[in-house]
Amino acid sequence: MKPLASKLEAYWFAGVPALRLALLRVLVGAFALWYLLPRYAMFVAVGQSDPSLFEPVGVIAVLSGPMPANVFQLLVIANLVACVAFLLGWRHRQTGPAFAAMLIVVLCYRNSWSMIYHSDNVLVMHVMILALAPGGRRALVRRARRRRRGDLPAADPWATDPTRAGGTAGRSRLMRHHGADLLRLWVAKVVGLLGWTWATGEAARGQVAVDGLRKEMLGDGAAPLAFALYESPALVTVMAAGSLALELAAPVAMAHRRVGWLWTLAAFAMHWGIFFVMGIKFRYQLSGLIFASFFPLERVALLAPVALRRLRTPTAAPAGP
Amino acid sequence: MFTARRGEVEEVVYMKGLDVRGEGRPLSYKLAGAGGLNQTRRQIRRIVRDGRADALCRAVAEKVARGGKKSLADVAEVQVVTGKYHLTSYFSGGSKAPVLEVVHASARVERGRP
Repeated sequence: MKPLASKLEAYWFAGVPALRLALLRVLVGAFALWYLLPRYAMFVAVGQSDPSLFEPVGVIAVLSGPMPANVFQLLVIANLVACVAFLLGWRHRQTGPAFAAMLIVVLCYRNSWSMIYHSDNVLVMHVMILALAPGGRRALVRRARRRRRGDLPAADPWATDPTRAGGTAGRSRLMRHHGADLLRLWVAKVVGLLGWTWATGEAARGQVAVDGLRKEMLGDGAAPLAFALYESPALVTVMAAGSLALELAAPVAMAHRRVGWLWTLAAFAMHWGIFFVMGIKFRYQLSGLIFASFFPLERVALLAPVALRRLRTPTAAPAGP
Repeated sequence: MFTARRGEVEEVVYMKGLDVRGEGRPLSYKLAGAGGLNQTRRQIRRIVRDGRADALCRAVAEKVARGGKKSLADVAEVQVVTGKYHLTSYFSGGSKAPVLEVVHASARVERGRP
C-alpha cells in the first residue's frame, strides 16, 4: 500500500507530457493576449483615475499611493510584449516568469480602484503555473523537426511521457487549481451568512435581481432572462442547487478523468447560463480554455497530421469490371 | 461569489439625465469612470459617501456637454441620486419607479461654452 504522502502527491501533482504543457501555453497565451490587448486604453485610463479612489490590493498592497500614470502605461506595454513572448515560447524560462510577474502586478493594479474582479484569478494562476513549467518553444519545435524528418517514434515521449516534461516542474496543477477554485466558491456559500439555505435559490434570485437593477440604472439594461427567471422561483431553486452540487463535485472531477470531462461540460454550461441570465462575461470560462488542461491536447497534436494526410491522399478509384 | 443576503428593497447610486421638461433617465457609468460597470459603480458610491457628489456631477455634465452624443442631446441637467427600488415590483411587471430617491447633487449641462 502506498504511503499517504505518495497518494496525495499523485493526486495533487499529476504528471502531464511536455507537449500538453506547450499546447496549453499557446492556448492560454493566446487568450491572455486577446484579453489584454483590446483593454490597453482602459488600463491606461484606470491608471489615470482619481488618486483618492486608490485602494491597493494583492501585490500592490505594498504601495502607499498610486504609481505615476506613465510608469503604469510602460508596465502595461511591457506586459503585452512579454505576453507575446510567452505565447511564442521564446526564451520561455526567462519570459514566462517575467510575463506571470507583470500580469499579476497589472491586474492587481487594475483591481486596486474599488473593485476586485475575481474572474481574473484563475487566468493569473494558470499563467503562473505554465510560466514555471517546462513546455516552451523547444518542445513544439523539436517535435515538428522530428516529424518532418520522419523519425518521430510511434510512442513520442514528448507527447506521452510525463517524466520527459522535467521532473516535478512538469507536473501540472492547472486542473487541480480550477477545481479548488470552484470548491472555494462552494465553501464561501455554505460557510457564509446564508449557509445551506443558498440551495433554496432565494439568494441567487435576489442576486440576479440586484445585478439586473444595477445594469438598468448604470449600463445597457438587465438581460431579458433576468425578468423571466425572477418570476420562476422553482427554476432558480433547481439552478442554485445544481450549481452548489457542481462546486461540491469539483474534487471528484479532479480524481477521475472521465468524470472530470463530464464535470467540465457542466461547469462550462453553468458559466454560459450565468451569461444569459445576468449578462456577466466570465471570458476565460466562457471560452472553454479554462478547462483545456482536463483534456489530452497532445493527442489532438498527434492525430491532426494523420487526419490531414488522409484528407490529402486521393482515394483509389474503384476497379473497373 | 453571489453570497450576499438581498432584501426586497435595494438601493443603487447612479446618475440621471433630465430633459427640459424635467423627465429623467439613467446615464451610462462610462461618463463617470474608466473601469468596468461594477468598478465605476463602486467608485460613484464612494464619491457620494465622501461628500464629493457635486464635483462628480459637474464633471459628468461637462462630459455630456462636450461629448456631442446624439443620444444625450436632450439632456439639460445631470443629477447624482440614490434610488431605492422594490425588486419584486421592478422585475414582476409592477412599477419601475423608485420607492425613494435622494438627489445628492445636480448640475446644468452648459453647451456652447468655450
